[in-house]
Amino acid sequence: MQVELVNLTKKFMGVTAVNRINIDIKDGEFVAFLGPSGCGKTTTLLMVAGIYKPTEGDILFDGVRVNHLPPKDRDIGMVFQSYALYPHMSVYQNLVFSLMLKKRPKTEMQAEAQRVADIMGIGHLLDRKPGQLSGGQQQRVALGRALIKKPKLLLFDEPLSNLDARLRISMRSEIKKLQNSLGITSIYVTHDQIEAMTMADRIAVIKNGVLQAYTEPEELHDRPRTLFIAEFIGNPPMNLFDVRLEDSGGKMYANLGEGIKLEIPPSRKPKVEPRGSVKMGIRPQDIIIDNNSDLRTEILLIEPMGRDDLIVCRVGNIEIHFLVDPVLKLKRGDSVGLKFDMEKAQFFDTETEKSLLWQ
Amino acid sequence: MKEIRSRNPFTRSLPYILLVVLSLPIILGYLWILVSTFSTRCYGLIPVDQQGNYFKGLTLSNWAFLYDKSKTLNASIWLLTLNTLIIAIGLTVGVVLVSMMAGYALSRIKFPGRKSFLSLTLILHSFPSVTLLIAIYFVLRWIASVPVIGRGIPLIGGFGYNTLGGVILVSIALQLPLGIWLMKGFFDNVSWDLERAALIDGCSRWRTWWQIMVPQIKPGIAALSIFSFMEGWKSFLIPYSFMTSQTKATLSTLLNEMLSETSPVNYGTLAAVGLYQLIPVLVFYIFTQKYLLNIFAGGVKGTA
Repeated sequence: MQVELVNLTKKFMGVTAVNRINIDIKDGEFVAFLGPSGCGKTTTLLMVAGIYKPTEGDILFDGVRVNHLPPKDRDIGMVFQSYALYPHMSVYQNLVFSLMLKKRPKTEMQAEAQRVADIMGIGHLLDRKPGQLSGGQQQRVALGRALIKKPKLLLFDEPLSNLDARLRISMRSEIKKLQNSLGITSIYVTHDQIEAMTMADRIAVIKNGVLQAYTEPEELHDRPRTLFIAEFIGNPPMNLFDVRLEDSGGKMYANLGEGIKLEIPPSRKPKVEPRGSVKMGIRPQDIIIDNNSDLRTEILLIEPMGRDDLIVCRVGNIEIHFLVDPVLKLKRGDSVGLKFDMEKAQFFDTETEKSLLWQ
Repeated sequence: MKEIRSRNPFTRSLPYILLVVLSLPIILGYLWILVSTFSTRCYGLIPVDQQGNYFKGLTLSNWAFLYDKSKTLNASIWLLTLNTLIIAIGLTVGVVLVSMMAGYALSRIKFPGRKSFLSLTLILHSFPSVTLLIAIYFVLRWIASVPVIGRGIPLIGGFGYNTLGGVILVSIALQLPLGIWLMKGFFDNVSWDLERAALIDGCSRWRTWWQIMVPQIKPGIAALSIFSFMEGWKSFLIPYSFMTSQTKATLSTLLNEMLSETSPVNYGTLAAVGLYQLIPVLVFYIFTQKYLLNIFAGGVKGTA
């Protein structure tokens, strides 16, 4: 099902939670709503579900306005962070509850429950109560309950937040696989950028109820349109420096202070008058160790992350984070030379926080 | 190795001693009821017979009121028991039903005046019902003049003055603030997601309430039912004020009348009737303590 949100706005007693959001979702697409908690992403989802009525704007399903359609008539399935299984019903009853409300014959309910149980691998749990299941099992049942209706739209509200780290990763790929094979249009709300990056076809980044960007994961990572996106996407987070842009001899330089001056390649030249103060961002993986470099620093802290070590060092008042290969066996206090890969640098206006490279 | 010693036995038992001394009057009172129920006369807590011999004169004759009307001012004890039961059950059903619906609405639905309604019910709860008696009397008199509803309903008589229904109606009204707040507190603790899931699964709001929400607060309903039943069973002021004819009286009002009789009071029978009224309450408490504790656990969590 194709979904379209047009100027969608929600106000709670005068406070704007969602502000004129425009999003179109193609049939079969997996879209993530990403943002910090309280940014309005769940509110948007609940409007799509029909739980909240929009204050302004429209929700279109396959081109039809559904603003006032109650949730039960929207052909949707939803998975909640708290699972929201009915505690007083068995797993089987939980699964077939929606079919029961539609007064389907018992044989059909049993067949459908079996089908969904097979997909989710919960066939052996049908007689249990939700309270007797582990978190992962409950989440599978919740997913099964959403799928049994054969919905045209699946809504996920931070479904993996309550699971432990390992289970989260396996459920992540499982949900992704399931969505791929069933081809159901899906909206996935999360505050975890890794979840959004790994699962979604497109990501809608939301901050304070305003849509910041709506694009593919790589695009968000490589060409962040705003400072907020640059900070929010990517792990470990991007280094951000206040720099002054200086012109000299036909070349442009970024002056970080503390005697650090970096040449900006033509491909990354910000479209602004030089000598302005801007924010420069560079990802930790784009800073490398080069002992021929003039920029020398001492290692303050090492955080082993397995595949890489995250190094924290400081030049004057500037803190720099970068990744190195653990085989280098660097130690705290070691002196190293750094080289910035300026072909990967980002520039943002200090005032508007908009990118000076990508508009 | 040195062991950390607890305080000496005296300081440890001091709180218990204090508590026992303070509860002694109540305990002795119940003990007296028990003893005098089964004896001809009593010297304090010691049963004596007509001649004054100690520990003699044990008898069951005080329980003759169960079949002998003359012992209870010519009122049939069975009819009074039935009346009391009707009031208790009527109160329970009414309070639980209205509280479940009102509590849900106050917990889940935003409507104008919700906050003020909540604080108003709280004020009403702390209102002494004695102050309302005269006003209620006029209301009940007026209801009594309404055809059918006033006095024409079988079993409860109607909802007017001098009917069981009238007493039930007034008792429900006085009990509701507590019930509504209690139910609201329990509903507040049920996750919103559960309700949303039900709505998406295809429930109407009404069905969500009945099939998904109400089962979650069963312990609260049990607690409120028991509490209301006991309130109705032991209630005195309302039945005493609004029921005049003897055939419609309750066990509490009977006890009161036996006490205020002009002829010498028969304490043996009085104690027996008192114990008779107490038995269901005791049995109830023993089996439902666990649910009653929920009232305090669930009620505290509720917020506006």
